[in-house]
Amino acid sequence: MIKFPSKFLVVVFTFCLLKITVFGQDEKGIATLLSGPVSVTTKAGASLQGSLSRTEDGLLQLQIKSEDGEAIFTYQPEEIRAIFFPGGILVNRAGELIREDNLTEALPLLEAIYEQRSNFLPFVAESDLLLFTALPSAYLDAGKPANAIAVSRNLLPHLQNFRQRERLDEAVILGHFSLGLREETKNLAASWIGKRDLYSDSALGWWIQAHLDFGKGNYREALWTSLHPIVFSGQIPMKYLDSCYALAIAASHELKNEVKAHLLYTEMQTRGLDWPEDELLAPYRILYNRSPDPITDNPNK
Amino acid sequence: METMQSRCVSWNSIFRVIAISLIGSLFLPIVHGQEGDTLQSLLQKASAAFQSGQYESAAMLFDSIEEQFVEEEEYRAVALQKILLPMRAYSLLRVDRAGEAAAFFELFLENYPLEAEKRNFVRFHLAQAYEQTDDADKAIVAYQQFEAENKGRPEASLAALRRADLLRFTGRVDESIQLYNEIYAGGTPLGVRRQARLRALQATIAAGHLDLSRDILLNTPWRVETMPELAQLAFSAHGVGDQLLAESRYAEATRCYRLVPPKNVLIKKQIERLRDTRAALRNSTRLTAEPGKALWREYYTNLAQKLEEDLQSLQDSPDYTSGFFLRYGQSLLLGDRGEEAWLVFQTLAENPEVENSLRVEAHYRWILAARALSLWNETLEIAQSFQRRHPESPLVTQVIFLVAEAYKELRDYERAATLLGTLIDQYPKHPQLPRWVFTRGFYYTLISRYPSAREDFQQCLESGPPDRLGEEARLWHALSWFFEKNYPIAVDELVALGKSLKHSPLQPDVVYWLASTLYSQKEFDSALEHLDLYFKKYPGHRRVAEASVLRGDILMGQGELLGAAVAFSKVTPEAGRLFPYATFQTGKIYRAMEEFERMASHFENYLTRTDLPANSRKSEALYWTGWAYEQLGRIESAFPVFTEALVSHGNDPAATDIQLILKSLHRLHNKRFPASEKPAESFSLWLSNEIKSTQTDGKITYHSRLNLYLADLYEKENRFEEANALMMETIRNAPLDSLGAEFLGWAGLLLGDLEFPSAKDYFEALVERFPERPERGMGYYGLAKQRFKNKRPEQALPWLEKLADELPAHPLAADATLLQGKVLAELGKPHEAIARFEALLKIKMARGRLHAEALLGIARSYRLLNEPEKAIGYYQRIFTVYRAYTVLVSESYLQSAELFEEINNLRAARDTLEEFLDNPGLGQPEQRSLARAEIARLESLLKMEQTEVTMEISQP
Repeated sequence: MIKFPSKFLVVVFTFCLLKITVFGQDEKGIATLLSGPVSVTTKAGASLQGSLSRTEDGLLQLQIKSEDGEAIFTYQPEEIRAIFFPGGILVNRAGELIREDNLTEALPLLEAIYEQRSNFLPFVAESDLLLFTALPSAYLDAGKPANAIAVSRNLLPHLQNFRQRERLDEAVILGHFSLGLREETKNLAASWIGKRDLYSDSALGWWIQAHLDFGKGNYREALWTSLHPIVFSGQIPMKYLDSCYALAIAASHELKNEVKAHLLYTEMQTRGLDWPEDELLAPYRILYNRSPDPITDNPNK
Repeated sequence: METMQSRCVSWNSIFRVIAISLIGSLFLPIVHGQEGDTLQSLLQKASAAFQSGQYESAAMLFDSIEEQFVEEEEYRAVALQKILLPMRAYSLLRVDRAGEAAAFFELFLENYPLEAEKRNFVRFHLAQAYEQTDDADKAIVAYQQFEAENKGRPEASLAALRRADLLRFTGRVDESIQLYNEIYAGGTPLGVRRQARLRALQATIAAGHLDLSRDILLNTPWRVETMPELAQLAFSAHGVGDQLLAESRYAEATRCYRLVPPKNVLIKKQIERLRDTRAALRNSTRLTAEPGKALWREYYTNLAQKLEEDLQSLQDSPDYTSGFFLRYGQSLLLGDRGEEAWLVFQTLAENPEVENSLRVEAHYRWILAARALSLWNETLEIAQSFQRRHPESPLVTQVIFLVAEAYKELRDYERAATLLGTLIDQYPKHPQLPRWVFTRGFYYTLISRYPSAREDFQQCLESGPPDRLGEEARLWHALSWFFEKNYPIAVDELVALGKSLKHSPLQPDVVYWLASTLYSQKEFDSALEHLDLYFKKYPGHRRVAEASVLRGDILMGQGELLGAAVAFSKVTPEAGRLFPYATFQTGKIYRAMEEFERMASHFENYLTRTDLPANSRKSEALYWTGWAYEQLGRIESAFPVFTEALVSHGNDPAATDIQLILKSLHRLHNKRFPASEKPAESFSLWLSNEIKSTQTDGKITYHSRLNLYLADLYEKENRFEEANALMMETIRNAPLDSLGAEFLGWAGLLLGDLEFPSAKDYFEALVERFPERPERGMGYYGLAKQRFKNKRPEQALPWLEKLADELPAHPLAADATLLQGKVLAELGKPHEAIARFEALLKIKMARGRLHAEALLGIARSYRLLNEPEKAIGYYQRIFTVYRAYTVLVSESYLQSAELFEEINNLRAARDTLEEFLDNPGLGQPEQRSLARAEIARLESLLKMEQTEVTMEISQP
């Protein structure tokens, strides 16, 4: 019989336990994995482990307990080179779930990791922060728009990456939109539009503005706004373009321009865009989902 | 453009392993050559050079080996030659010695036909060698053999692609396209299929097969998010888009243009694709030295090289983006996508980074986009901003012309004509001058300034050559007489024009207008003769529908109802609004013939049509259907028709006859129904419920109409306060644009009576939104009345003239005539004022207050003309005939008393005032006390007069 060294068995056992905990998303297990000591490396080269906290004036305090007693070290932020938090396996698993686009399962992990680190965001490397950019989207999917806004706004000052900043900006807009905060949403969307190039890969701001206008019965404004990304879109995929098409079709219909609505619907299908899930616009899909009339719907007639 | 020159790459890895191992093992016995080099050492050197890609050295070393050891047994050994020949041939191929390379490849294939593995390599590169020696036919055959020997393997598609290229560049374009299509349709790797598709596209474009290019471009799922050849696709799409635009195939052009990103985006994406392709190439070089893999490596290398070239030339080329957007916008504009075109042109016009000439052009087209959408206020604003931003542009004259056109569409004809006047004055030598003068004349016609219009048409005739515009000017000169109702001159000019325009395209118009003028002149038979001539000679002319309607109207007037119905039946839905007109005229004929059954089915058929034009008066058709059923006594049929009309059209502001429908429904409620059809509630209860539910449902238009009807009921019951309160509440709660024509009119009149300035908004909305509805007469009248009250009689007059001209039978026509008289009097034109008042007196329907006021107006006018006797006569008519109108009567008494005194008839003055006082219902207290004082004053004057007379008599 093969004899394994006891240390090996402990490692295997711990690994299995971790796997069960992580994949089973047990809250207590997650908390356990994240609750270990934090390692701090200073620019002077010292490495210490302990319990980390932040004072009100922005200093870092590392509390180290030993049999002999307790020591508290206080650092200026600029003295810190790096901080290493426990729970790397959770970070890996969260990353996997995000790549699999499984934000529902990723959410509790991300929430816990974010809670562990949110006080120390200025000290976390940007590459490590990128993990959290999925958290607002996960919150939005879970119907927690206020959390999405809060996390996005916390993260934004610490990120330089343009793509990720865009993603967080979008989460802030969508959060406000979900909360029904019309005026704020409208202002945010306008600011989003102001920052975008003509040929963008997203039509979020246009869609939001058009949707708000449509909801208020301002069909003309909704039409013009939603047409903007349609005009300046090509074959390169654009997020929310399908929603803009649906709004433009619905607005054209309300403006009694059914020929235009048919033309846009046909074009939407030609471009391989599906009708979006949107309660407000669902009736219009039924209206236009039919074979085109060879006379009235032919733009080259 | 590609050449036949091969883009070959390092092949050394194929032979690297083989060469090192075999050359080492084959030459164990060292054979000495010249200058101390052995065959083995030379082979090792050549192999090393080959491995490191130094093909020049390798080729020289292989030459040297051949020279030195050709006779040696070891050199001629089959095992060595099997390796050496392909290596040597390949080295030669790479140093542009393709002829020799081909010879060695051929030699290998001849001598070692069973060497399957190397044969593929040799065959493929033999084909390349043929390509380099411009022996395309042999190359094609070699590739074909390669394909045959490798059937089903992905590498075969690479050979097929090269063969297709060769076919294409040797003029066998159709064969090449066919082969590209076969490759695309085959099961080859996606990248090769896509390249085949792209090259097929390029071949069809070069060959001028536009439809094929279009099909390939628009029916291929290009997957641009991953495809490397983005730039090639974009340029092809740009070219095809331009051709389609030139051929007026706008929708397809738009689709092609959608495949073209702006230059900066394209460069960014192309860099990303190049990076991906290089990564793919790196992956392929890590693979083992299988010949198949090597071919793919070569493929990726060529692809990366081509992408680099594309990227470089893209970066070096001038920015195409703005010019492209201009054409994209044009395809949208001409494809009836005005909003989208607007957005493109506006973006270009407002971008300071775009070259100025393009911005000018874009701004101009932006105006055209607004114009195409009939957004005239916006057209005006955009055009005015063009004038401000680009005052020096040669397009400025065209822009001013468009501004004038916008004013015309906004019905501000005066301003449109003035603007054209500026244009005409500023650019007297412009080639477009005759067109501008003609257009101004046309605008003058629209504001009834016929003499000015004729001057312009005459000037246009004199300033330009006798072309089509000149003919149009002559026609419009004649028509200006027609519109001025001077029919004899119009007929003379049209007859003269008809004689001189024998073969002009305007000839049918002349005949039509002649018929129309003769009809207006009541020469019906002559008009019918001209219409017959018109139908006979010009059966396909654009005015056939109008002519049919005219014929129908003439015959209807002559009582030939069946003939008229036949004429109206010739009008089809393509005639636009003439079709509803003809339909309703036919309905009138059935009504006159009391053919109510037919009348109902006539309108029912009309309502079931799917080809009706906009504004097809469906609610009106429903009303007449219900009315016809009512005449037939079929109340149970009429009732649902009226109800349906309200449900379907009640909330549509454009719907007509809703008040009549409500009235009919009201009437029907009081009739006897069959028991099963009896309405469950009384009309008043129904109306009350309907008012509540429309308010709850937010059906504002319908709600306002119901309230209008209820207010009318209140008025009929003399509940004026309730009526006004209901109207005011409705006015407060309903946005202007939700109201129908009738409500706008009545609301305006009520607000005007109550002296609310907002009445103007209602009248203006009515006139602007419903320019063809008879209710607009309320708007004309209301606007005139407001201006008169605001002491602007000169502004009131045009509205009243418009009402008299356009709607002579309007219910407010008599009130308008009265107001016109007052306005003319105010303008110091008493003779013209008297003529209007006299005209009113001839209208029997206006008997009563209106006649009394007309008499008062005449009296006042004569007073202005200092003709007191005549004035007194009219005042006396008022207080003898219209005693019920006490205010007017009081004024008449007091005024005529004053006038009697003026003509020194003091007794008559006193008697008049006494008569006034004898009637206790007349005058205000202050008027009555004034009359009493006047009587006293007159009495004393009369006494003095009497005294003087007595004294005169008593004189000896």
